[in-house]
Amino acid sequence: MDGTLSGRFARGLALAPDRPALRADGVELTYRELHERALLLAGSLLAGLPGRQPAVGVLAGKGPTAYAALLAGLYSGVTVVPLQPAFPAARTRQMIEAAGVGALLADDDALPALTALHEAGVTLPTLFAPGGHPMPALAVDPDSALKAPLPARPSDIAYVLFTSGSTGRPKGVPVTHANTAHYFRLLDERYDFGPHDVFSQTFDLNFDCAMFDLFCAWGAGAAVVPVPARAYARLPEFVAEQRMTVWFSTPSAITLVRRTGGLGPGALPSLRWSFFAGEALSCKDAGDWAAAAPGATLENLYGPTELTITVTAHRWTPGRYLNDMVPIGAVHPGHATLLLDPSGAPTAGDEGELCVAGPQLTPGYLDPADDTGRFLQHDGHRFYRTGDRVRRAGDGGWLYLGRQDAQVQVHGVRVELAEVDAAVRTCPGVEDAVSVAVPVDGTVELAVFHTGEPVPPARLARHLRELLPAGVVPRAFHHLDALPLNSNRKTDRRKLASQATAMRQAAGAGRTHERRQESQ
Amino acid sequence: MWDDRFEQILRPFLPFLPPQEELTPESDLKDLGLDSLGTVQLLGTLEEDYQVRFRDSALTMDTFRTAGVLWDTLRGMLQSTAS
Repeated sequence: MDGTLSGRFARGLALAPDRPALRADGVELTYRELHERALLLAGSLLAGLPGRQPAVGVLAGKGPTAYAALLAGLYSGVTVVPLQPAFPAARTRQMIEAAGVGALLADDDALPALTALHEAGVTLPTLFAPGGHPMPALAVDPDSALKAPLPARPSDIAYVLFTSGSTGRPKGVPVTHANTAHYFRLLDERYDFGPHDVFSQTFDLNFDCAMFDLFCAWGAGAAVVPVPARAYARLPEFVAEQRMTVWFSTPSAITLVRRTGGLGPGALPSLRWSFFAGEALSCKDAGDWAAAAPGATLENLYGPTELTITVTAHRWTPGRYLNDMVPIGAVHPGHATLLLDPSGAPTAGDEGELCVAGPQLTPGYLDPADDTGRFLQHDGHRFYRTGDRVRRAGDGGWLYLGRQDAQVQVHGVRVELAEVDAAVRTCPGVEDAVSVAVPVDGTVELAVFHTGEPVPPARLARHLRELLPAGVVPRAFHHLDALPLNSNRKTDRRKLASQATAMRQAAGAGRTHERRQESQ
Repeated sequence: MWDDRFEQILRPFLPFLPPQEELTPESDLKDLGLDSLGTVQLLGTLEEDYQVRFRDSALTMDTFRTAGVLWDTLRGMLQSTAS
């Protein structure tokens, strides 16, 4: 097998050609069917374009046709930029421009997103099978179907994903085929996935943890099952119906399943593996999930997009840990680690900012200007500064302590508070704004304090949905005549954060939706 | 119009609806702060409190678009249970 992502699909295809590669919304596609569909779409795309493009955008949600679109992008041999149809068009346009996207592959549900992008000023050749969209159309042409996926070199960029930037502009992170080849080779050694496994697919395709779901499953001939939002209301039934064996989500899902009464002991008996990543995992959540899925081995995974999906893993066993949080575990073999003290100097101590060098490291941001301060040379290695503070654990692994800066993770989505501040300031009537993170049930929500006119929260939220991914739109808005200052005459973010937390607790006391599980 | 219980259940999921402001059938629930996680929880709470079960075909974002549409869907299920 070659080391590309499409090479992993080829391995699954050889192992299980007539078994399902995907089950979504009641539609089942075998490996052979998905392969042929992707060859058709990739060939049609390439035949309709004047020449080789630097990148192709894959505008895909999680419906039955989303996965063929993504696979077709990879089959085209061109860099893939996964784009989220539910994102604000203005944001997607920034990504398209930054990554040099020359064409779009859209899934069958993407018409509203294509229309919105066109209205936002994007005009790109687009392959959209149902037709009837405003972009210049590329036709699905059976005569142009590829015979085989087009090859890529290890140094070629497999995909580009975007993370929040403090300037208000998303930062593009290129990940090479060599990066993903190292990653999946390690996972192949660590896990025992096979053709009878059924993987959950909870992450949106523009979130790199989705690559874990797809290419662990497809490298093993296993099935991938997207989990629709409504499945969380009755998760044990859904998991049983689908005969799901591998679960991977953010820890927020545990809280949600607990609230909907689905986290009783033994409620998820079919699971063999459970994985969590994207935000800190508490010992209580891990313990409750493990009791619900007694047949599963549970791992906490950690890693920024810049280090290819995940770069540490901790296999959970019951016990007490620092701050009652599950450790993030040891950094993957083949990588060097370095700690920085608060001044940014390398330290031999046991605590500091985690820096990682090695084969999973991105070659650098799309815009080299974004590299400043994020990478450092040391001992002949190029390290990425994660911005995460860690402490050395006794077993060679790491304990997660928190962030170094004003970046937070809201339901697993990294966001710079400065980006949210900037977005709020664009709302008519708002003069100045400060957003703060409020801890809620093991994840965080954002709250905003603003000056200017007292704009109704519903109007602010509607405006922000045009600029920010829905998941990170703040959940509370507070109007102030002036922002409080600390003794350094800077905005007192700490005071605002504790104020927001107190107000959230007061509001939360009146709205408890916890049900069966909590009352036991 | 709906019963008091419906509004009591719904309001906590609408952080942008001030307590003194009226909830109308046309109120757009997304604008008032109902997010996808809230939708899932709201669904579970309504099913438990009213002892009904939403059919999968009813579980679209459209059902949760406005307070009026949601109440009509719920009332439809209550009537078919009663008959």
